[in-house]
Order: sequence, then C-alpha cells, then structure tokens
Amino acid sequence: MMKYLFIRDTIFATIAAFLIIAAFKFIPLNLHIFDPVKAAFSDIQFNDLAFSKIKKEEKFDENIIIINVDTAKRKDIARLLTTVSNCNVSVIGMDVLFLDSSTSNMADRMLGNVMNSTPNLVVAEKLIWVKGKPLVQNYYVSEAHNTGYANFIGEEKGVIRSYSPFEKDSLVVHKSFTSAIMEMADINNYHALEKRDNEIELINYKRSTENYMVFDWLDVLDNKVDAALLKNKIVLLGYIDNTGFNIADKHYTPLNKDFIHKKVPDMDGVIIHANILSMIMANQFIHKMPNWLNFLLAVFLTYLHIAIFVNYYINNHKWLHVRFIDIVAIQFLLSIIFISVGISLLRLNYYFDFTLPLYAIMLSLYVLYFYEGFTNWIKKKYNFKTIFSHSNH
Amino acid sequence: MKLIFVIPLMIACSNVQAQTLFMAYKITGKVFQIKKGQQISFKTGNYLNENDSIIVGPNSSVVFICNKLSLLELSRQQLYPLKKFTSSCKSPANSYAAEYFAYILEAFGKVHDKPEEHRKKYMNNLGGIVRGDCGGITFENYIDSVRYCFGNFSLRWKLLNTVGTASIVFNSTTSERPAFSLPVKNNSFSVSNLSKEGLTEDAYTWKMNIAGVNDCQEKYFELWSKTEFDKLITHIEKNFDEKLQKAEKNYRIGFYLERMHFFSEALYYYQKALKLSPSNEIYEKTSLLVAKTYKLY
Repeated sequence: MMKYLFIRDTIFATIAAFLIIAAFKFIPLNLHIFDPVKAAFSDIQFNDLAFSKIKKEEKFDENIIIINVDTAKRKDIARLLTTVSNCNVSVIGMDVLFLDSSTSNMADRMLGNVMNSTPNLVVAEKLIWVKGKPLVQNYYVSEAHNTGYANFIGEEKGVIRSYSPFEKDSLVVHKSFTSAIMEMADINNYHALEKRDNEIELINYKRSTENYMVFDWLDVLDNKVDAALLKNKIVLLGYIDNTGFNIADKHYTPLNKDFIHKKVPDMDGVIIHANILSMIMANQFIHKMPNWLNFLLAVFLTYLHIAIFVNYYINNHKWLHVRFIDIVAIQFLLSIIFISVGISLLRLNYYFDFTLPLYAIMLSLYVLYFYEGFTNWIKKKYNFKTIFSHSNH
Repeated sequence: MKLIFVIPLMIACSNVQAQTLFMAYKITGKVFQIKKGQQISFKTGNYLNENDSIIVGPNSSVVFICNKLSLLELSRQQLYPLKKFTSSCKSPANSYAAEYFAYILEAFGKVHDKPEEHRKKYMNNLGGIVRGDCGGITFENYIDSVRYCFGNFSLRWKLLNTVGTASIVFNSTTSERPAFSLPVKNNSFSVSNLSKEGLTEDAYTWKMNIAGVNDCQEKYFELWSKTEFDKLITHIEKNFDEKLQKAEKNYRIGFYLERMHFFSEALYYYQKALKLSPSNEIYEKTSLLVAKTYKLY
C-alpha cells in the first residue's frame, strides 16, 4: 500500500472524488432520496443520536424558573409581571411575542406601563430580514427596556439545532432573547459568549421540560409559589403545553425520543431558550471543528482509502470484484467508526461534521473506475502517464 | 348469554381504537371544515376525525399530525374527505417500503440546505407564543382607534373563516341608537361608505361579528362632519408661525392628523405639501410611507 501512497494517480483520484462530490452539490435535485439510510434518517444528523441517547442531563437547572402563561391575556400578564418583579428576581424573560395590539386598548396600555416600570425585564421580539438587513417586530418596542429576538435557525418543521446570538448591521447590534437575558443576569458569561464571536451557536441540549421547574401563572398570582424560590433566579414567562397535544410553540429538537421517525414536535420554545441559557451559564458551548480542518481531515482519510484501493485495483483486481460486498461492508464499518468518534467528541462538547469524509470514503472505490476510464482516454490522446490500464482487469 | 353483551362492546372498543384523529398543526390561508353541510373554520390544535372533510382554499394549506404519528400536508385547492388519508396514519414500522416511496415523492426536487450555513433564510422559527389576534382574526395595529372625515380609508383585518357570514357592527357611544350592522365580503371595510349607509357623525365602537368564531372586544371609530373637521384644522393652524411656508404648514397639519389617527386626511395634507414643493424628498417619502402603511389606495 505504501508503494501507492505517494504516486500521482492517488493524488488525482482523491481530487476526482472531491470534484464529484462538488458536482453533486450543484445538481438542483435531492439525490439523497436514493439513499435508504438518508431516507430513514430524513432530517437527522448522526449527532442527534448522541443528543437523544447520550447527552441527557437528569439534574434540574435551579437557576432558571419557568412560569407557564398558558392562556393569560395582556392584563393578566401585566399582573403576573408585577407579582414576579416583586420577588427580587435576577431577570424576567418574557417569551411571549406581542407583534401587534390586542383588542383592548386598556390592556395594551396596562402591560406597556408595567413593562416600562420593570427594568430587569427582557421582552422577546421577532427578527425579520429586509433586503439583507435585520429588523425587529415588537409592539412594545418603546415600552420595554430590554428586548431580544426569539428566532431559532432551522428549516420549516425541521430540527432546531442552532441559534444566532447576535445579529449586526452597520448601526445596531440586535441581541437574541437569551443573549439579552444573559447580559443582565451575568455579565461575565455574556462577555464569554460575545468573545466567541460566532455567527451561530449550536445548542447543547441537555434538558427537557421535566428538568426545569415550571409553575402555572395562576399559582404564582394566587401566591401559591414561595417568593423566596424566585429570588435571584432567571424567570422565563412562556407557553408550556401541559396536555402533550398542543403544538402552538413546539419544535423538533435532537432530544426527540423518537429520533428517527420524528413525528410530533417535542419541545416548547421557552424550554429551548432555557437550554441555551443553561449552556451559557455552565460554559458548555459546543466547539465546532473549523471548516478547513474538517476539509483537511476529509482529504487525508480519503487519500488513505484511495491508496488502499489503488493497491488492490492494480495488483488484485479480481479480488476487488469477488469481495465487492465485503469492501462495501468495510466502508460501512468505517463509517460507523467515524460516527462513533463523532458522538464521543460531542460528549466532550466538540462537534465534528463527518458528512464530507463519509461521502468521500463511500465514493472512493467508484471514483477509481471513473478515474481509470478517464486516464486511459487521455493516455491515448495525450500520452498521459498512469499506472492504470485495462490489463489490470 | 354474556357474549351478547361482550361482543358488541368489543366491536365498539375496536371501532374507538380504529378512529383516526387528525390534529391541525399548521394552517395557512383559508381552510374550512365541513360539518352538516356548513363551512366551519378550525384552529391549530383542533382535532378532526376521519369522517370529517375539509376544504382548502386558493393559496392555502394545512398540515395535520395524524394519530400522533405522521405529518400530512394538503395544499391543493379542493375538497378533501379525511377518510382518504387514514392509511397514511399507520405506523411506519408496518410498511417501510411505502414510507420510503412516499419520502421519494415528497423529497425529489427539494434541495436540502444546511440551515446553519444560510441562517438568514432559516431564522423563521419563532421560539415563543405569539399573541395579538382574536379568534382567528388579526387586525392591523393602527385600526384600534380611527378618526375619519374624508378620503379613501378602509378598516382591514386578516381572517381565516369564511367571509360570506361576517358582518361589522357599529354602536354609538353617545346615544341609545340601535346597532348599525353591515355585511362584510372581503378582508376590509371602506369607511367612506358609512355616510352613504346612513351613519351620522358620532363616536362609535365597532366589532366583527362572525358566528361561532370569536368574541373580539370592541374598537373605536369617530365619524367627523366636514364643519367640525375644518374647525380642527383652524385650531391646528393657530399654533403655527405666520412666516411658515405653505408647503411646510400642510406637512405639519398632516403630521398632527396622523397622530390623531386621521389617516386618509393626513395623506391628503402630506400630498398637498408635496404638490406645493415637489422637490422636497421628505414630503415625498412621507406621502409614500403613509399611503403604504395605512394601505390608502
């Protein structure tokens, strides 16, 4: 094998493998449909497996308390805000989007006034892009002291794996809902997030609804929740589905227990925000391998594979045909090893996207056939020197 | 003998189990349920069963989660008896091949991006409950309170149910006159028709009446006579410096009127200012913005 490690054909065949992958990327069709593995794992990243099966944290995060606003109207929410702010909480995060007025001017004003007199409140808003510039939509933009956009990143009905902590244009820096909360709750953690300077952050999901303390808004108003419990905590006011059927603010996440056939969205938006806050506070960010390193690793692994296959292609081609199924099985096994490595890395909060090396390795054997045909053609026409010839067969 | 009771009971139980439930997950545009021959609107989270039928309107779609198992998207403009889709609600474990081919049909031609690499395109998932409408009707913010004397102004809203059965009801706040009701056929109501319909200058509350759909609270509307409106303009003008140019004077009147929620009248004065000083960019931009914001066309 060593003999073929440093020859020109191995280098060219590796380049060919990547060129073919690049060509597939530009075909405007979803060619994954012919891949049964992809079909079964539609909108699944192998790393989701790590989240759904391995990463679950059973402990409560006692720094965050969630109050379910359920069907509370604006005047009820105003009363709730007053009650909660009297409990000396650290920050109140209002994960309810008021995009326009309600049907009661009085209730609108009442809530606006309470927002205005609550300096440690962060109100969620909607971020939209207009001609490439970020704009926010929020009915209470002038009343609220602090605001943050509640948008996540993901396809429609797709899995939410990441969010954007900040969005900047030439004049303004828009903070995400969780970034704005963190700025008030713990400035050091906020600076740590800012220092990372990432356009997107992968969400380190560790907890579901059962791992946060959730109270009903009526219980809080009726003084059934001890005020001492809320003291110095981050209190999120949001919508939690108690029935299991209401999907008003529900999203698909990698914690979905039914991780292959994701059928019903599994997590309320406010719990996703809570997971982000837990991640920032525990400094458990997911470190993504840089794209260049990912690419170099993919090139290196593909190069090794091509060298092995060139060896068999030239010296024992019959074996290659006879043991074709075995070779595919070996490739599949290698893929599983890579996936396992990826999952192990994710446990250490390190994310390695092994899609590219996986595809390159899977393609490497087929590329050799294509490469042989092509080199034989240019050999005839331009006297190109290659170790491949039809006599190998 | 016991079997006489047990067998029908078993049959009944098996029927209950076999019932397919479709939960509305995402509704876009006009989608109605057909019940006893009538079109009824339904909301996200409502359950329909296999005996129900739905109508999907033009440019509308609905996504159901059936039996908590699979997603079903209906987007063509037609009548769908839900019975037709019961087979697609079975557990995928029973028919992997069928699931795979369904996936091929759905996914072919749909390119999967990496949302993380195109975040601006994929930041549409809101992590919070949205509030600000009532019973399926979303009103434009600014129509909470409207004053009107002349011009082309409409009260606007978006509604999910059938427009044929809706009406708009005006109630005087100053007298005991009976409610004034007018049928609504579109998602807007032109207030310039009110005088023609016999509504006199007064302060009113108004609301939408749609049977069985909503209990929206009332909004405020003032209909002004031309005499009273002219008095208001004179009053506003009194506050201006006499040396102020005519165009600027009209612009400022427009500004005051807009603040008072006289929207079509504000546009009239902004346009008047622009006519007097056609090269003024601010006048031009304000006129365009006001016309666009309040949909004055």
